[in-house]
Amino acid sequence: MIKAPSGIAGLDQVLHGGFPASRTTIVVGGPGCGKSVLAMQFLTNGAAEFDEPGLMVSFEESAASLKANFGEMSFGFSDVVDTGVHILDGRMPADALEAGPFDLGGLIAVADSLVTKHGIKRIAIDGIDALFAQSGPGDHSRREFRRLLDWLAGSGLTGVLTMKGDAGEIAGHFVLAEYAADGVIRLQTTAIGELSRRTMSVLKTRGAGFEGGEHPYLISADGIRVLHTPRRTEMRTELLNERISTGVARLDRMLAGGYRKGTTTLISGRPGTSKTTLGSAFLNAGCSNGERCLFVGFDEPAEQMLFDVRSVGIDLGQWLRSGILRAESFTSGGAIGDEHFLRIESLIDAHRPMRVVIDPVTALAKSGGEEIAEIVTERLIALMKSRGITAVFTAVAESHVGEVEATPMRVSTIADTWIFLSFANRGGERNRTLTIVKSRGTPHSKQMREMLLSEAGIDRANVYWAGGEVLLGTARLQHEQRETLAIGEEEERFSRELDTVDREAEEFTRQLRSAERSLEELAEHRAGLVERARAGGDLQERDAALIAERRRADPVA
Amino acid sequence: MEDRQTVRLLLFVVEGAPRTGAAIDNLRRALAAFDARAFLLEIVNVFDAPERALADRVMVTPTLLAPGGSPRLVGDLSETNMLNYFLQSLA
Repeated sequence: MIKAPSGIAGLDQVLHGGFPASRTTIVVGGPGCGKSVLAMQFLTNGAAEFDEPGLMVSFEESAASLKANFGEMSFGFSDVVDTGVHILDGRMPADALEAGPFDLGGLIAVADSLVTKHGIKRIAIDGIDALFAQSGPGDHSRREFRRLLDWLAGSGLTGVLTMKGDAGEIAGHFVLAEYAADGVIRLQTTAIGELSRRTMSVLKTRGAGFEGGEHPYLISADGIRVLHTPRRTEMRTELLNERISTGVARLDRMLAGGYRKGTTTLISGRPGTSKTTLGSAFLNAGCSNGERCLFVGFDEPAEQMLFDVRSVGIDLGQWLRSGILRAESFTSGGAIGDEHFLRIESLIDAHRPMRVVIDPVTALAKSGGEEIAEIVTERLIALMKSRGITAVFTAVAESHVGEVEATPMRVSTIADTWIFLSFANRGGERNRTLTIVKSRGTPHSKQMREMLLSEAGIDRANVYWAGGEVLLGTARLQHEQRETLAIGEEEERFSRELDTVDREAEEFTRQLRSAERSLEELAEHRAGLVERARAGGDLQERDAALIAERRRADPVA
Repeated sequence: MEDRQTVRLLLFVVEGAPRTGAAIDNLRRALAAFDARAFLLEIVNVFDAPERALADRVMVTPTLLAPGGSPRLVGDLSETNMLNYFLQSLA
């Protein structure tokens, strides 16, 4: 079966190469699901890329309105309109009155002459159901529809015929069309919460294979983009042994040289743990090397997110200005996760980056729920791998410090490297810590590290507390030895302080006991004095005077 | 004077199609009620003159119209009341 490629991203993969050539495929869907866009893109790409002039027969819009609408889109329509893509306004004139059954003879005669005149190879018949809207369902409409299909079959044109079908069902009077056409593609919109999800499914293509199931798709200014999940992840394995800098020298050392090229690293942590900073350092290192980089942010303006990292000495503004770095930001709750995936894929196709940061990937949970977010994240990782892109995804951890295993998404299991950022409270300070939870194919350090941010960047951070084992080469060993020394010094200082305190405590205890003894002696002495006063009569008066004096009593008159 | 009173009619058809004969018969019957010089009918086969069909935006056949006039009738003209009203409005 010869195929006529649509040139629409993802659709040709779903259709195993394109629309069946010289056959008619029906595209059915509700209002606003992109039938006309798909048809026009099929014609535009045919003319621009495959040297196949096209004819658009529109039953819903005038030629002027089509030119205005598609002229605003960026898939190249304006370049080929009236030269490679011709438009025939097939609408019934507004002043027409139906005075009996009619046939499509006029349309077929006109289209046929245009096909000959312009050497048309592709045809799109858009919204033909509108022509029969007045006459309603019946044998008559069905017969005329059949006549059109017969003409198309005889013409040798590759055709796309769109029609309305609410809730994915083909309108009643065209139910036969589904059986008469060579292929049927159904476009659907389903509501997920407040968002809508667009999916495309191929019901049949006669004599040709296709990818079954529902394929999410996106309509943007670039036209339609269909999400096609490869049966297996195409991995560019030749890249795997290369390492590229994380932008943080110490982290490079912990990871045996940096992130592995073509892999995806997850950086998770609670808000404020410097996830964006680490991502920015990674991009900065790439841009400094002349590598094209892409930053995708969510829910905050990308420029602001990147500007904020200037406080730690990373200036990405220069790369944005030079164009080597592209930064875009999306509203996570504004579209379903599939659409975000397709927009990111579209950005990657346009910018062709070697490094990508998505910050934070967990925002996708607001784009139709956790399940979609997980699927989309998995697809993103597969996409990065298939393009040989080294990626950093950040994830906002909801859990408390220390609960490393509780990441918000399953993404941690499919990411190649997982770095966990946290806070540790010690000595009255709240310090950021970094732990490499896993790193496939890397003899990484398993220690928890303290990470200090300063104006000079992350790299100046001092590592002075360690609790793990030494795993890497000489540089690592020396570093570990330094750490061990540091621990020794700290322990010594601590024990010195403890000794001082203990000594002070002993001193106070001694003073306390001595004071207690003095009190006891005083009491004994007093008791002795009183005893003597009772025994000696002569002394009684003196004693009385003495006592009075002691008590500071008034003199006896 | 006479020219001004004569109204041109164009009937676009597909030659040999079943509805073509029905439309021509229905139109001839209706025209019989008018003065012979009131209308001048031209029958156009769209496959012979697709550029004329395109110029007059004739997508369905049969289509009956008066150049420069409005409205137009589409179908085999079996709705005779509608056809008579259409002709009277032009005469």
